[in-house]
Amino acid sequence: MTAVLQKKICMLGGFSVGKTSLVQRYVHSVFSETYLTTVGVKIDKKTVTLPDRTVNLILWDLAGEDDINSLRMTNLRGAAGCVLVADGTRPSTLDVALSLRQRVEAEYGPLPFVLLLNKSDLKEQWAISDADVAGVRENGWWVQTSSARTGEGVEDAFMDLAVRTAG
Amino acid sequence: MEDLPASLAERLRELTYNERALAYLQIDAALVLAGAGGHLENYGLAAMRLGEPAVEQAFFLEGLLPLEETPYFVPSVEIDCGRAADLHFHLEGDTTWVVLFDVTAYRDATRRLQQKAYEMTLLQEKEAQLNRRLEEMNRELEASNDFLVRISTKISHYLAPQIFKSIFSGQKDVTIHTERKELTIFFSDIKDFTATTEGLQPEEITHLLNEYFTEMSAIALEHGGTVDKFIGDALVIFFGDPETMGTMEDARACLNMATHMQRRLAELNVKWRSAGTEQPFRVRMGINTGFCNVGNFGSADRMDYTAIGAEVNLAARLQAIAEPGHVVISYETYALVRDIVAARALPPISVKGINRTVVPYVVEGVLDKAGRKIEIFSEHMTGLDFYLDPRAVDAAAIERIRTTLRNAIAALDGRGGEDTPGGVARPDQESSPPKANDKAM
Repeated sequence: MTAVLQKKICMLGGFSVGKTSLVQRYVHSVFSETYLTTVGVKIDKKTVTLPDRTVNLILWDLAGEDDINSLRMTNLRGAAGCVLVADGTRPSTLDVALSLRQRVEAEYGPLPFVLLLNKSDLKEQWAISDADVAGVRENGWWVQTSSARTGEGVEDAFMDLAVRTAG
Repeated sequence: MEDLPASLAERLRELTYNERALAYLQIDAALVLAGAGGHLENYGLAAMRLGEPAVEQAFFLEGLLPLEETPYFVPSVEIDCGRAADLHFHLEGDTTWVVLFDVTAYRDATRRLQQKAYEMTLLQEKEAQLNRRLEEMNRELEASNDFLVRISTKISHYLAPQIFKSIFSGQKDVTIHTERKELTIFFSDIKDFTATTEGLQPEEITHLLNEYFTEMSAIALEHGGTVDKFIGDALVIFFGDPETMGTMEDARACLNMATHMQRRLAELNVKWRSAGTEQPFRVRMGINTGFCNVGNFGSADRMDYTAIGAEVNLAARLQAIAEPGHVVISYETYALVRDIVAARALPPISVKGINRTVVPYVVEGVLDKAGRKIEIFSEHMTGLDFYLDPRAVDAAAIERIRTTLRNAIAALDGRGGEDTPGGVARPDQESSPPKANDKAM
């Protein structure tokens, strides 16, 4: 039997930035307006067909980082990549995402990651400036706005990560 | 476990195995599933096939095998089935054991608490964000307000204070709209302004005129007049709009303003003369009371708040027939102020647009409360600056004034029939005004 290529991908970010919603959008093509906080971790699978192979992305949707929950670093064991998520309407969540990336890199070395500035559909409440985004991009990072509600940027982000982790 | 009483051991087995839905996976060195048991169905793992790679069947194991540390624990993991399990890993020789305990109830309880806490934090964040936005908006509002105040202060200099106030307080609409109102209109003009200022530089003329208008406008404001406009060296003021004290009081205020202006002008002439101005400003004034149209005239883009009508023209006409330094009022105004002025009728005139015969009155003096004429003597010309208000003279100075006047008359008598300087008398100076006109108010 041919071993199926599987990659563990961790969703990281502050609480209520939309990690679970992004996974729900990506895996099940659904979006719920109701906010339901994640406790521990929720694991989902999404099969991605690349030109030369098929990859199962095993998505670890980890509880959001905040004062109550500090990220359990051991949960990232064996991860092939990360999706960092910030909420574009709450600038402080970008700092949380960037600090998480630093901590993960300190523990596990450089991992492929994408940074999503989520909730791009809430244009009127958008609070992260273009200058801040440009500043992050200068590091050569893959940054994109996304919306779990409309699906904007979601498929691209996971596809990019699939290509980079499977390569 | 052997130490425990049988009942307790049995209860523990019950608690862990049944109530916590214990299940296990046994994985060999080749990461192949060697065994599985317990409540696998609780976690959606009922179809596990022994002898096949474990990670392909239980995808949550991806990345975790072979085990790097033992024991290894991942709390509260939700797999497809919706139930939450604590995953306990440990190594025994080459065998990796994975034990699953159901923690769904615990997960749900924690979620409820966490949800409340997060919603609270989100609300606080939102509140802080709104407050910041509010402060920002307040700052913007203050800035625009400051800007508006600066602009409106600038605009205010182009409008009569009363008009400015009524527009900026929202009392008056800025639309083409006029009202018919009974106003007392005042016109003044500087006699021979061009000739008077002939020898002056344009800057000096500007300065002189600005000082004159500033002083006169302040007096107008003091008496409640609305400064309508400056036309060259002429001044137009009306009483009765936007605020009125009643037709009679408006007319009296206007007359008092006119006499106040003449007094101030006498003082200014002394000042200007000593500053080098050769000729004094001599101003004629006309006052009329009647119904006019007052309001915004012009186009929707460029309006002027002013009064128009035949009665306004009449005020201008009365001003034109006044002798320099004097005030001429219409009968309509005179009827309203007769108890406070001494005035003499002039021959009737007719004015275009006014059907009645107009009788002008030249004001000869203001009456005090007892009806006595208050005389003020004022004359200004080359070689003479004369202003005497007997009421204002200090008793101790009376004798000194008498002496000065006597000496002055003697000096004039001694000069006899000598020619005026330059040989030709100026028209203003040569003909002495009618006798009554020797006295200003």
